[in-house]
Amino acid sequence: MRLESLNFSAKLGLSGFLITVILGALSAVTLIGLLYSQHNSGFNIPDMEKVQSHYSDSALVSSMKGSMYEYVAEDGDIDVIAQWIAEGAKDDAFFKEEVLYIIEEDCQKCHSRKSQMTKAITSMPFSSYDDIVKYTEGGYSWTKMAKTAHIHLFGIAVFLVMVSLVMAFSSYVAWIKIALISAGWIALWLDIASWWLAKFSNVFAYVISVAGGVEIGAVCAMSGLCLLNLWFRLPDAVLESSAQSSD
Amino acid sequence: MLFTQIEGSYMRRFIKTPVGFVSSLVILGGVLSTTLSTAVQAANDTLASVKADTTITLDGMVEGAWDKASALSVQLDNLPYQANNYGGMSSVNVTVKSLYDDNFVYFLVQYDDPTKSLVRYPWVKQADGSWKQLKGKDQTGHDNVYYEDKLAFFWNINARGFAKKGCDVACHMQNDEGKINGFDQKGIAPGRKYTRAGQTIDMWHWKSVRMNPLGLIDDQFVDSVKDPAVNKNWGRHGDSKTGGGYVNNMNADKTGPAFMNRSQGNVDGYTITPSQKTPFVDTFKPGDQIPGIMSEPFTGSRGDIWTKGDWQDGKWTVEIKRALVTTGDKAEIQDVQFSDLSKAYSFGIAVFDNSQIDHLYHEGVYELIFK
Ligand code: HEC
Repeated sequence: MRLESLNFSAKLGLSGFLITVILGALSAVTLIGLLYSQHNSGFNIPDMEKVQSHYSDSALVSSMKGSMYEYVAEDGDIDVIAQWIAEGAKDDAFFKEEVLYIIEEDCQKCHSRKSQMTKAITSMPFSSYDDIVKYTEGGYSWTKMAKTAHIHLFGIAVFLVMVSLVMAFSSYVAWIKIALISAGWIALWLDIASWWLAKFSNVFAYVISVAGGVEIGAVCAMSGLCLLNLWFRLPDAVLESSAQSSD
Repeated sequence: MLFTQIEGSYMRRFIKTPVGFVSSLVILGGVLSTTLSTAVQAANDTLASVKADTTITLDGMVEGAWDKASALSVQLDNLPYQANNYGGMSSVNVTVKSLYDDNFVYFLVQYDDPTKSLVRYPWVKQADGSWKQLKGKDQTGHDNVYYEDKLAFFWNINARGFAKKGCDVACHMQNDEGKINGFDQKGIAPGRKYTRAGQTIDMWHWKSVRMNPLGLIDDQFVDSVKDPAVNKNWGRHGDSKTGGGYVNNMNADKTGPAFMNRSQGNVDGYTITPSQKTPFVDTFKPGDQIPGIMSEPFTGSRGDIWTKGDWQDGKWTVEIKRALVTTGDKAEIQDVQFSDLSKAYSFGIAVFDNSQIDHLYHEGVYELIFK
């Protein structure tokens, strides 16, 4: 069976799926652009420093550089928190005088058990040393890894296997199929493994970015190619010989 | 002609190759997202004040002079706390325009509000002939039922972080123990305003009942006081004044009003202004209302912002005028000074929908520039 031999309705349904995958990938890219850049609207090129921070810094510091940046009064405040964590995140005078002051000024309004602010997050209070110290561990902990990795792995696997299968039934020469299908899966594993590894070396922050790019690129390329294959006559050079003869 | 044809067919062939297809997709996506993002970012955070051609009359009506200025649109969709009797809006879009001339800066603020709320603490005659003052306090002791519509601007003077996160730098809410700066605020105040030592913010508090009829904004400011023993309103203060203000309209034994308006039936008469003030004589029937407050125009720095707001068909239109540079007592710490027209001035806006303190606000900050 080949994609181009499907009946019209099957082609239509498959096209809907492939277009949706491409849109999903583009919105993921937009989200990443927003999270890791200075801007809060539109598409942005992620800032490498923020990617590194997200995967190697503590949740407290990486959030202050990332999603919570808009609430930080001045950048110097992030350095104060980072310094405190680097020195062991102790319940000392520095914590009481400097760290807690910044958190009270900039974060507690929303991060407290009884906050009623429109954007309150009562499940994540920063009211005391014990509350705050939970977010000082660098990088992804096993718990955070387990929480986030399985969602990504299962979620991505489900549509990746479908896109891979559609690709497998296309008429492209074997090497294109093999290259794209393998790229998709290998990039996924590399990406997620690097979340954990990033706290040991900055190199893995780059692996995350590159693998993420390859992942999204492979998914978009496969979906795009299959769409072409469904609806257009392709140049012989990219087609498998059996497909050529049946042409 | 021939050239473009060759080029065109080459392009078509290129797009048909997988590499060509993928790169075309990437390029298309890139162009699309860049256009989108510039479009989004162009809807920006800057209010441009333009030179006025004619004089502006403060009357709460939009005259032609305003056509020259382009509007900044601000979405207010946050509230600081959940008042248990709040019946106001949960989101509102405010548009602001600005003009200036040699001496003054003008603002035109407009927002939709389905309810014109002016019934602030009125006295109502009861069936048995006694008088009762209506109030509707929430769990923090603040009113959201018998209050007034209000509007406020915060202008940065020298508060750390204001240029980035706006009003938020002054906002301090109760912690888990119900305390602010160590003082128990349970049932007293959900939050308090104060800055860091030596820093101030100018606060323009437009009050539809208490000062709008007199054509003034209550010019206030926020400083670093964070101890109720020093100031009952913590960092929030009125600017220096030489006279004027408002007092409750209450007789000595607190059982009824002390004064009333000379002419009754004035629809907006929910305050008693000096020209209308006359001793209360009870010739009323049950259900009749008498204002709960009396206002006199502020004199001095607290009364140096002029205004007129009017509500028509579900929309407040408020015109505001202030000297670019003020010279009142302590003007340099209490008032923002638009002394350098090449500079940008950071500000934030809030709307109080018939609420004493529960206000609709925005995150972040806006900037005023002069063109
Ligand atoms: C206006 C309310 C608000 C303020 C102020 C605020 N946060 Fe948050 N924060 C949230 C909400 C809501 C979430 C959950 C949703 C999200 O991630 O955006 C959150 C999530 C977080 C998270 C977990 C997710 C992540 O991005 O890592 C951290 C850590 C965090 N905030 C830290 C801070 C710090 C530090 C400050 C002070 C500089 C702060 N927040 C100020 C509302 C706020």
